[in-house]
Amino acid sequence: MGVIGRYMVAGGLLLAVWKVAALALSSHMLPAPEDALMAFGQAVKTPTFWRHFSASAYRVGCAMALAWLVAFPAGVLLGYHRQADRYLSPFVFLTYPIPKIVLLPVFLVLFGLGDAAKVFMIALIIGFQILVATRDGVQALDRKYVDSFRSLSPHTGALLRHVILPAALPHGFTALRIGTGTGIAVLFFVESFATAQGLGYFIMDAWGRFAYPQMFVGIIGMSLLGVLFYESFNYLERTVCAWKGHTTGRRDVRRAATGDLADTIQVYGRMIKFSHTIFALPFALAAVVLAHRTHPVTLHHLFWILAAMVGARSAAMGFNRIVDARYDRDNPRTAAREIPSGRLSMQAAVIFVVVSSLLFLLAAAMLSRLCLILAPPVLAVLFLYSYTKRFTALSHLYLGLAIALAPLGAWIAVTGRFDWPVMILCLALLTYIAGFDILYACQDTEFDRQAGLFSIPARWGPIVAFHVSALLHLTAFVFFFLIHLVFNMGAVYLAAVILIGSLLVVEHRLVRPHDLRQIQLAFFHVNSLIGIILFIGILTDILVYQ
Amino acid sequence: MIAVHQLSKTFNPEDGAVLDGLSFELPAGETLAVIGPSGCGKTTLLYILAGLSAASAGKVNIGGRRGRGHTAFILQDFGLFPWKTAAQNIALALELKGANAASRHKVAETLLTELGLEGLGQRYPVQLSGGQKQRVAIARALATEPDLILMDEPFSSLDALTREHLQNTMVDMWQRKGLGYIIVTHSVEEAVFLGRRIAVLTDRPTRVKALIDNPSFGTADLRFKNCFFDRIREVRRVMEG
Repeated sequence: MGVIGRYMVAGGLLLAVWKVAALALSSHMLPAPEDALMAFGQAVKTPTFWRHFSASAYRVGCAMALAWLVAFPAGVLLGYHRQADRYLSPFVFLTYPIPKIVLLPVFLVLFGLGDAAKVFMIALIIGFQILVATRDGVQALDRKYVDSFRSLSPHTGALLRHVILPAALPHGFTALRIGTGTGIAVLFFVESFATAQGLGYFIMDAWGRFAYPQMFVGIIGMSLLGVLFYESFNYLERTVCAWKGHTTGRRDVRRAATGDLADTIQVYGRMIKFSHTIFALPFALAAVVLAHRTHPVTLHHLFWILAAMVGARSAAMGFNRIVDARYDRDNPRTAAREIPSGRLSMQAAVIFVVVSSLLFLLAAAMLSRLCLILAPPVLAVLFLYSYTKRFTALSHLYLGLAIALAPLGAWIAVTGRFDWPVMILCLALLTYIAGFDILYACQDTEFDRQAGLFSIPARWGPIVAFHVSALLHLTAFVFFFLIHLVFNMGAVYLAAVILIGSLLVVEHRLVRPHDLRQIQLAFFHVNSLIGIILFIGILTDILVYQ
Repeated sequence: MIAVHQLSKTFNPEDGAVLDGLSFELPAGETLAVIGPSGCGKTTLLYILAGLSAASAGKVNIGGRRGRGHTAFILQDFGLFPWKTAAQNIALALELKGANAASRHKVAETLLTELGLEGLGQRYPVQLSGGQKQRVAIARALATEPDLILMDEPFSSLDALTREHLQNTMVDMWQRKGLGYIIVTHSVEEAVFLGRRIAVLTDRPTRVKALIDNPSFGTADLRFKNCFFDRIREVRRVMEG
């Protein structure tokens, strides 16, 4: 079946699901697919639609090109040049987990309200992915290829052209294809305000006018844009990396190839694992938005809440790496981390943790007296996490608990007191993180068992772990829904909850107890979307209805 | 003429020397099989001979037609670049020298035919069998017109029959072109079949324990002859004694 055929079948199934959902909901919010398609058919005849479409395509296209031109060579450099990597990759490590989207206000001030800020925002986010994937791809290249080439020619330039670049390209392309999804998501976000052009604006505008079929015209347009870019990259990769498309029937060869791929993916995931914590940021911001309804939020609040988040996250991350250095060294998957590999000294790591903790305490002090009093216990809770996996398989829940302190803290920072409703948000985050962490821990099942570390997969096996995770995510979904009731949210939020629910289902479809290959790439993207959708859902809901 | 004089190599002073005052000589066009306990520094020796790694002390002199002799390196795995077709892999050395497409094509086709790989030039390594891949690697080495071929356990991952075919190919090449090679191996049979001389190395720090002459090298049906087995026993005795 060709590409077109596969798209037809997938599209048909999607339409069927859509139709059923539309019938079940019978809300204006979700028009029937035929109505939306009719509207789309009408829209493509108008120059207006194409004006918005091309504005969006132009922004994403420029951003992708910019990201590639900067990040791919940089990734090759870091991957190939050890000296450069030693000095530069700590910056990448430190900045990678920061959700770059929160820098949008800064970009808008720096580059203005025009296309530049939007293009740079998207390029920054995708660029990081390309950089990291390319760097790891080049580093994973067997040195014997380099030796083999050097026996033919001593010239570094020729080595780059004949060995390093061809080996790096597939990794760069993979990042680019995955980046398409992220890029379109960010595009929607940056186009949803301060512009009158682009599909993001088109969707928001239709939404504001309650023109739901029009809204779906924009959504279909964005999907098409994504498919277009994705397939273009596929085509480019097939042309440039023709060798990748060939396989033999020989099983040993193929197994060797997937082994390389799995390695690459694991290396990729190593850096982002600690960004678990950062999944909390959209939840904290959601708490801020909810608190804003009763207690107006000032820029002062926002700034110091962000500072507290960064401080607490960095302190917890650094502390965890110091405490776990011993285990990281023994686990082949984590042996290359900064501390075990010797790229970062223990002393430097301790200083990093102290400075981050001080930043957190300072931020708490700037917020309120109550925050300052609560801050040290919070740090203790965060640090204790690093030890939980040594004595209890419930460490996943504890991680959820530690991260769930973020929205709670943000709420207390804004309102100055504790309220029960915010606990719903915290519990949603707790169960969602715990469920995700259990799946993630499946990768280390064998290692944890040997090292005597506790985790649900290590104790009861991956199959039980998957069931527990599913149960937790079901609970998380219930809490997401309860937010709707407790905080009197509207239909927009409800739509966000449905989207989150489907993403959770997707997450559980992507990995199987004995097939974790998709875990890193697919997961990270699905997961980072959940928090963002929650935040955007709550924000727009409040903007629209209140 | 290859002369290795008092060659030493130390990677890390704490671990001691890998090679320690290793010396041997080999007339031009001669074949040498190097055998020794695993981890004894055979690969290190080849890397130094190939110019990929510098010796800590001692001298290596590889005589060539034009000053320092040119070596070609054949590795066990990873030798071929997966992103280049067989023909592109073979012609790579020529491409690096700036040869035009037509002459590259001609050389690649000639070598493919010579090594029994007709029609496989456009395949990528992943589409070739293990034996075919090593044939391509040999062709690529020949394309560089080397004075000496260096091989690091080139056939050890192949099945017995394919391995013997390729060993025959090497002897055949030597008989037709007079092209010398040094092969590192851990198989006594392979050493006796492929080396006119056999260097038995000691454990670390590595020296040459014995340089055994193997005059029956290259005779027809050597594998079935008594002298072949006698030599194998002799090498084994030297290794164990």
